[in-house]
Amino acid sequence: MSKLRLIIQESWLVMLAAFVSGLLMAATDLGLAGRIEQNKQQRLKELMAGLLPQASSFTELESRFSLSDAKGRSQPVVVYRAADSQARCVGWAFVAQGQGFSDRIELIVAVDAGFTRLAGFRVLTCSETPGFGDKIRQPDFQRQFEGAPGGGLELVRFGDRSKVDQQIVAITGATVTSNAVVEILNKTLEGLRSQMMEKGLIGDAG
Amino acid sequence: MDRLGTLVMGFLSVVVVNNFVFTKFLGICPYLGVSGRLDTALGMGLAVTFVTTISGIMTWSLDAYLLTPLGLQVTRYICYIIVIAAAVQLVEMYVRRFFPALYELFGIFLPLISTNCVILGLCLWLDVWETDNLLEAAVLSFGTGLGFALAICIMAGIRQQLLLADVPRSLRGAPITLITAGLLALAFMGFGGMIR
Amino acid sequence: MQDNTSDNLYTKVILNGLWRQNPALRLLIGMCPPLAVTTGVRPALTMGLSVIFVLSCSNLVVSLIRPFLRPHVRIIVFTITIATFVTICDLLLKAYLPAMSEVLGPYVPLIIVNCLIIFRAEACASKSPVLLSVIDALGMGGGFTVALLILASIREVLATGCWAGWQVMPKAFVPWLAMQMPVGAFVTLGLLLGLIAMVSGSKEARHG
Repeated sequence: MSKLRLIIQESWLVMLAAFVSGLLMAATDLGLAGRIEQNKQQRLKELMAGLLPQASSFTELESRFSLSDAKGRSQPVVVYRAADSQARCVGWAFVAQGQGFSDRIELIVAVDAGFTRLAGFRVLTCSETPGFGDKIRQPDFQRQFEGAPGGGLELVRFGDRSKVDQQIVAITGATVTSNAVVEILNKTLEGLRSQMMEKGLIGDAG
Repeated sequence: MDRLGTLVMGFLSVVVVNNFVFTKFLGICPYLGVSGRLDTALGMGLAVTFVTTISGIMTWSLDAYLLTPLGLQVTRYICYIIVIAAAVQLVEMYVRRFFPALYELFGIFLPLISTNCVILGLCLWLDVWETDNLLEAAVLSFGTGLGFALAICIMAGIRQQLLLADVPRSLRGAPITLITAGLLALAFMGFGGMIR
Repeated sequence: MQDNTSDNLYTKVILNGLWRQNPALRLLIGMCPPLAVTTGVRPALTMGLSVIFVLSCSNLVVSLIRPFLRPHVRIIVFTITIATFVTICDLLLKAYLPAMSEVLGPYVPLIIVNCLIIFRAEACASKSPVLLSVIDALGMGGGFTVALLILASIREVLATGCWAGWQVMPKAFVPWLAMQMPVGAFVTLGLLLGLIAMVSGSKEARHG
């Protein structure tokens, strides 16, 4: 009995501190969780709106999609349906990811309604070497994808960047990262297209 | 086989390519403080490896089996730091009691390292890397600790040579160590992209 | 008269944090963030302000509960306090500065193991009255922030030619990309420390 009393005497402050800290964290979380979630959605929507300017609303599809990643695990992919003011489908947008030169790259990709042409991509996360791999954020590189065919992209070292076709001109000094982007796009587009066709969301390409 | 390959690659990646000291700047305080002599550096490195492995496994399990299912991610940081502090304490008692020789080697560093950023950093990065099974978490934790040990031992070797060098007076001590670390970081960049 | 001396004390404490015992530049504690987040001025400022916030709150709380502290549970109480405020700070950043929170990533929770905070709790807040502890936190946090900003300014200007996003170098300036890589962080900090040692060394030589 006296032992218990000693323990309480010595540690009541720790217990109190733990309790108060739990309360504080719970309160902050309760107060801010909504806003944090909203921020994330906001950012995605802004990027998607930049890629599909004609769209006026983006809704998350209810059907689930998944792709296997480099380690062979299946990763859920959320697809957004972009619609114009008359509720016609003008395109689709989704987050694609894969391994870059030093770390994971996350891109947000948009395609047209028939899943045949790319509308472009933007970078969500990328910690590639500054000054080299980082250049996938530059409009100069990204513009090559805006209107390119939705699959079968290939990387070339030299070429005309202003021509939009399946040939993507690599960034000098960052071939690995450029290649990663092309591979992520090819893999995700192919995987998603077949799943979307299965679900009857898009017709036969071509 | 594929799985083994992933593990080996992940291990090499945290030891050399994504070495915590040179790419994420974690554990700089002990790195500057205890890299003066090779034997103390080795002791520190081993102690960190040991504790990192244990706390990596513990925090990963805690997160995957308790916090995430219960939706308590907001308390993640506080749980991590308490688990680490407890792990350090337990390891110290255990090693002192059962492995006196080992305790001689690195025991005195144990209390110092509960605030070593490498350990908490690793636990946090295990989330960022989306480690999805315990074995992988364990291998990455061990590798990270080993990476730290490697970095601190290389530095200790260099600093022992530096003692004989004519360093400008104002650069002696921490400044020259940082500059050396910079050059080492540059050297380690050569490993970059080796593993994808 | 009383006021005057206490004013002096507070000024001294602030100056102590800003220069004489500047945590990052003189005492060399809490070194991870100065190296990791100083690729740009904005993340550095965010990190500095977060540290000031956490340090002030933890110093305030520790100073308030100081009569009840028992020697062997002291550290764990400090740790819980610090971790709580860091979590709050992390949530605040995510809610109001999402872009910065993304850049800083795990370096925000790593404030928990920033030795600076537990050092001030132990060395100052657990022994001093509330006001003094908070002022000490502001001084120390301020000194830390200044150090981060100096380092970040050097690195960002040389690496991109911009300061906090504004172009400051002439267009012809070729960016030193290495400054943005880990090597830039180490070497800049090393040279900066060398410079400080040189300045204070020559001052001492003159006085002595």
